[in-house]
Amino acid sequence: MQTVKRLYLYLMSGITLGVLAVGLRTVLLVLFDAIGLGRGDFIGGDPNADRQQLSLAAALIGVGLPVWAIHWWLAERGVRPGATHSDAERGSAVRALYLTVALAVLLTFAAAAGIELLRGVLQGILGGDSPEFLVPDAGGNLATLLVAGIAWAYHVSIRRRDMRAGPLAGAAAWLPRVYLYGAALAGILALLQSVRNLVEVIGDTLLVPAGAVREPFAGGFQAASSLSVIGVSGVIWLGHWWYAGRLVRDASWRGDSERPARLRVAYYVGVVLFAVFSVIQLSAAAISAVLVPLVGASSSFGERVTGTDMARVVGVSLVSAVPWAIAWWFHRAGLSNEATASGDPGRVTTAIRLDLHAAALVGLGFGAVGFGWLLGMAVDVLFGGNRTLGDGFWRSELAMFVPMALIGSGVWLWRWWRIQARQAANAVAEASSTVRRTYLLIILAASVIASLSSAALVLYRFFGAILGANLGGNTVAELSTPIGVLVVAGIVALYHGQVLRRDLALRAAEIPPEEATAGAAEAQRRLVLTGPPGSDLGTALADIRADLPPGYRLDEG
Amino acid sequence: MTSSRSIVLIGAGILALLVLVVAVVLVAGSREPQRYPPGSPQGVVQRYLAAWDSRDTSAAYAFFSTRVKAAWSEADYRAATDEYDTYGRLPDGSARRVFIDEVTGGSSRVTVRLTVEELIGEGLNTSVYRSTRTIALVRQGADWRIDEPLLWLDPGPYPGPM
Repeated sequence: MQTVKRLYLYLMSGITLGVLAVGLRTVLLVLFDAIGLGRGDFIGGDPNADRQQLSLAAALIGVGLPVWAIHWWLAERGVRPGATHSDAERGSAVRALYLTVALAVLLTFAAAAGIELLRGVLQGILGGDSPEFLVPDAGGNLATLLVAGIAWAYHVSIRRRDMRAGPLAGAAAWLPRVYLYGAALAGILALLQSVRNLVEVIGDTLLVPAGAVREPFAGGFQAASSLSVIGVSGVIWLGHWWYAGRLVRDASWRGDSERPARLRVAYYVGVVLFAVFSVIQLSAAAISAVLVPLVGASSSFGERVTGTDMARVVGVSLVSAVPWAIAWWFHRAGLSNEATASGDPGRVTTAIRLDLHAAALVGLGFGAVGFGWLLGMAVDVLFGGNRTLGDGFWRSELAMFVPMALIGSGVWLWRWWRIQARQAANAVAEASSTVRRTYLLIILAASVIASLSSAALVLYRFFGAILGANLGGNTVAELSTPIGVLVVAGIVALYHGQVLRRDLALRAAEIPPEEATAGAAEAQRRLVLTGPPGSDLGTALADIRADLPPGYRLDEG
Repeated sequence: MTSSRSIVLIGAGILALLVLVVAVVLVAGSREPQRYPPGSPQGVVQRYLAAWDSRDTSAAYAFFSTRVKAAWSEADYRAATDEYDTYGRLPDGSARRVFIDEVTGGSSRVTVRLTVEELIGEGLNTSVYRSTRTIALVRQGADWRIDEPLLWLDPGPYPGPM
């Protein structure tokens, strides 16, 4: 019943907050318009349009404000100090979900408006035209930023007050953490991607591409766009990361809850995955640019690729890879340092495994795609397909997939070597690790999915030939890539399947026979012991154990 | 601060803002259009729009360059405006406002960038749609003239006369 009531209160609070925010934004928009902020000079049309907008805003506020105030007051009444069940209310999953969604939505709107506002300011400084589709709306963006920003700050203060009131556990602790680390992850990824875009703009400006037809809005607009995203996403990442760091260093329950949080570890791993991906992709692009003239692909796209083009792509790719590489190093160091600081050897081992397996997974992905494509080309050449006839597109494919295959495989071998060395040193512990098993299962799943789609394409051609369907194209050329993917996916699946089987055998051999039989004979039921905030669960557990009948025991899982 | 008091303060703040904005809008009155010198590019666009709004087709046509007029006779223009008025007009209850964002170019050709704001729908279903237009103007003698076929601020009918 309480849950249904909470769902109603927080759902209504959220909906009416949205109505109120739209009304407030319109009021601010009319105000800015009246004082001449954020619009050009009014030269014609209906001079009373503002009043129509103001009427609408007043109606939205008239409806939204009282309904929001009543529902939010009822929700807040439940968490007042001294209220009955205030701890249960403060620690409820529904309240946590509401705060998480509200914070995420408000931050998204504020960030989008902030980016547009900053872009307009920067473009005023840097100059350059805007694309036709982009409508300047400084007043609207400022209004959105103010309304969403203030509402976001209010909800942050509510969450911080809830945390100050005492320990929070379960969904009340981890759901808002999804927001905290999700915002930090989105912030750093947008920041790094925009740095990459900015480097591209600088590269295109310094080393103009051969035969380039540049849009009139290139340069100033693109630089202003990248810089505005860098500014806003940088603030979002730094702000959230700084706050998360403060929580970790907190001496109270907040620090105890934050330090071992899996979502914090997931954030680290997420950044490492994206960083490894980008470093491999950009390095491969740099080598590909060098290979283009070597394999005779300079004229593949109709335009002759010049030395300037090559220098630009190599320079831009390598410079763009540096921030990603720093992020990779910074986050794997953070993951490792925090595990070491915890003093828990299990956490240290898990951190090492996560770091190694994340890089190995991405490297294998690139290597498999590269080799699959190259093998397809080899099949085409060997069996008389027409993909490599003429001096066309295949040379570009060669220049693109060779570095991908080599760098991806190199990264995989580099990490897999260490993974296997650790496995050789402590076979059972590594075989039993969840990280290793997850890694192997992801690879098997990806291989099966890739094999399925490729096999379907091969069968489509096969049945088409049997049934006399006119499928068009050169059969060998059409089948070459699916066959390449099928073979590489098969090899990857076979190898990793063998590894998984060996791991399972090791684990099975390690379980003592008496444990296995005892486990089968004994009846078990898993229970969760929950106490009020600050309670001594150890003492309570000892009391329960003392009262158990003969033959019963209570183990901690 | 208690949660009840903070909610009351938030409500009071929002109402105060609403009252302030209503007062500002009422005191400031209706926003009168900025007046530009008739010979300036902005003034030409403004007078062209005024002629269009008053359905003075001949006056609106006079603002086009000789190049546009050579390809688009006044009779064709008049027929196109009638058609535009029938099919291109916004639904009742809507309002349009036009703002000049910037004028770029040199002494013989300029581009005027405009933002058009349209209120679409009625009552609570009203929404504001904003779009941009760029209009090319060319200097002919002492005057600026619109150097592209336009119906209001939209491109001329397709297949166009140019």
